[in-house]
Amino acid sequence: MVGFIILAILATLGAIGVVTFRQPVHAALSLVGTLLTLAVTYVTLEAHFLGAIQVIVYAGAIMVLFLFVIMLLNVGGGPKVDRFRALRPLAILVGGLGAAGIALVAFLDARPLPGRDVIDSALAGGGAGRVGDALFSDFLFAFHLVGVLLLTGIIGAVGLVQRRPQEAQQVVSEPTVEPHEELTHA
Amino acid sequence: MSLFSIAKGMGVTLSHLFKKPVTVSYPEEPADVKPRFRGRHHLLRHPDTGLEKCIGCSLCAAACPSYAIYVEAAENDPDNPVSAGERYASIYEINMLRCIFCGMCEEACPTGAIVLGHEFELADYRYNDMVYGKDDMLVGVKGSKPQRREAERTGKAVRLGFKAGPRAELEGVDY
Amino acid sequence: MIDPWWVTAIKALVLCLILLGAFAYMTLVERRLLARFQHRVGPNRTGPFGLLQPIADALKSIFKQDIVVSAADKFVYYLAPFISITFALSAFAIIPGGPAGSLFGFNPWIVDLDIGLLYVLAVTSIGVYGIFLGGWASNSKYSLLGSLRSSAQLISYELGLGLSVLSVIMIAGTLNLREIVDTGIWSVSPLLWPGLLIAFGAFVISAVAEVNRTPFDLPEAEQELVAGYMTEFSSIKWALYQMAEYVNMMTASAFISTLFLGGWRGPAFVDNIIPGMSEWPFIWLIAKMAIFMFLFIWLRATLPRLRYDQLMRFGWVYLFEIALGAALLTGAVIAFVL
Repeated sequence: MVGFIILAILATLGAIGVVTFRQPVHAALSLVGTLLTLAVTYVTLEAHFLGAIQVIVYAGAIMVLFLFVIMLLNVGGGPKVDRFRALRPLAILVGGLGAAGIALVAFLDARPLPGRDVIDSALAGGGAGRVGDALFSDFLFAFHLVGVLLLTGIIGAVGLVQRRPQEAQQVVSEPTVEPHEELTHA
Repeated sequence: MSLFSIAKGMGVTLSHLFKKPVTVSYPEEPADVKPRFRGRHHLLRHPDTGLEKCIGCSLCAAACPSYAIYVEAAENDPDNPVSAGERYASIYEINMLRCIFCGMCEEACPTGAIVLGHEFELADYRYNDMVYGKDDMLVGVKGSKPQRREAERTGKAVRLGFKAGPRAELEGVDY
Repeated sequence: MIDPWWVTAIKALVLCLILLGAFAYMTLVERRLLARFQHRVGPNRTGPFGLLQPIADALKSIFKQDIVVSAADKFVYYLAPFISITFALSAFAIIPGGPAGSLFGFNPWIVDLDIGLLYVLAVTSIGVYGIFLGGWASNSKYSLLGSLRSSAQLISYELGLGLSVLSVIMIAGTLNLREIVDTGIWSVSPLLWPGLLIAFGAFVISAVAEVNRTPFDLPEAEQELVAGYMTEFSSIKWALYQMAEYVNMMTASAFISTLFLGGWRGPAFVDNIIPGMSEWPFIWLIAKMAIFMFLFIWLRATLPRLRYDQLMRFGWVYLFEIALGAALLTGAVIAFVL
């Protein structure tokens, strides 16, 4: 229980960091921290496989891609943006209501935890075998559908990014004027 | 196939692993100095009479591109001559810090009195010590100034850090 | 049998110390061997055979001025080397060093996880952050480009690594490294050997790329890219990166040995000389690791560095397909022949 409280605090701190840090890299790093904390939580729940997959997929692959893009675009921590000031009360309202709703449901509709033996038999030591069984027998169709969905996403991304040769040339030649202007202004 | 060429290359490097290193562990082992190496100068004597070859003509000083040589000549005493000619070098100094070891003095010398030897361990602490006089360069003086100082301090013979083959101009120098 | 927690803690501490000591002496071994490959003698001035050289190096890197880039992102700048070394060290925890209970009655490994193989992959994939953040936090375009280049390499070759492991997993039917060693993947069936051989080759190549060794050492590349992401790091932070690199190298060697070469198990014929010799803990694993460490150094002495586009093309066009082919071949043999 103590372990869970520490992990929960860490995960929450990381989540708060994601939305409050002004520097995008710091925000992404707090997200990595949250994901790692979640992985540790899984491990404490004996779901080792889930923990490892969490680290490999989210922390090791997706967040690296996030950071990659942030660094490639060289997004700096800009000054405070007032663009959405009007929306702020609404955002607070919606967020607060959502959190309150979740808390309400969790406390009002509190269900007892299943017995330890039930969890143990369901997880079977948290290994890969049990997860694989479920994935490739009960949920085979869903699994394949997800695969098709991902493939569609990839093809769509490639289609969006692809340009015709002359179009690509135009884009390259466009921004050559800008630096001079900046220099003269400075 | 590139795989085979990689394997071949690996074989080449592996065969070189078992060859003897070419490194000379210099201070412990003598360095191999080539016969025409130009090191510290020697002032020669005539082998038969033992008279100095230098006649104090200062041609070496004139030829020296870095003005490292200073010569002062004096008349020989006919009864007790120092050199084989009319005059001899009463002062003969080479500033080893200026010297570029080009060998022009050797070329210019009409009597073959100055020859560049093989000693190269000349590093020293004080500027004055880098100016070598006649005492430091006449035939028979072995080692540079710091080496001789070190030998005097420890009481051992001067140990030179090189080995070299025979050299015609250095006839009479005991290396 | 599970060890009490204090035994595990002591074992972890000892393992870290051993790995760091081995790192120190690996640098010496590497320098001496490379020197001999090039007809030189190598460092031999400090102590007999240069045996004190690692200590001198350590003192030097500790007492060197620690230059901190003033425009750096301080927190991340300090954090990055520690990420590298921490995850490099923790990856080794899973490698079994001998049969159960052979270390004075305790188990010769730190943890025995059912998902051991995934653990190694997970931990090494986190290690990328060390490189990534190090380059970014230096706040220099040069380091940033270096770190982008290096992390792209690491991510690309992780694919080859993961795919070539598949054959082993399929044959052993488990992710637990101890059970993989117990299975003896080569003894299952000769029909599996072609797939396993291809997977082994692909795995070794990917491992070389993952630990940034020649011919894939673009992350470091002293000569032309001058150490990419490490350019702005000095003193002990730089040493930590070096440590991580060598520890990764050792982990990779141990990992290859465990997956493909029977891990801590010695060859069967030595049992004829001394009965039970093939069951001795640590000795065989260390011997196998030494072979791969030598291979890494030998490669460094032989091969030139790949260009970046060659590196990427090799990773994605050849290695990825070869590893995938090996997995398919092994899977087909298991499904249709055996």
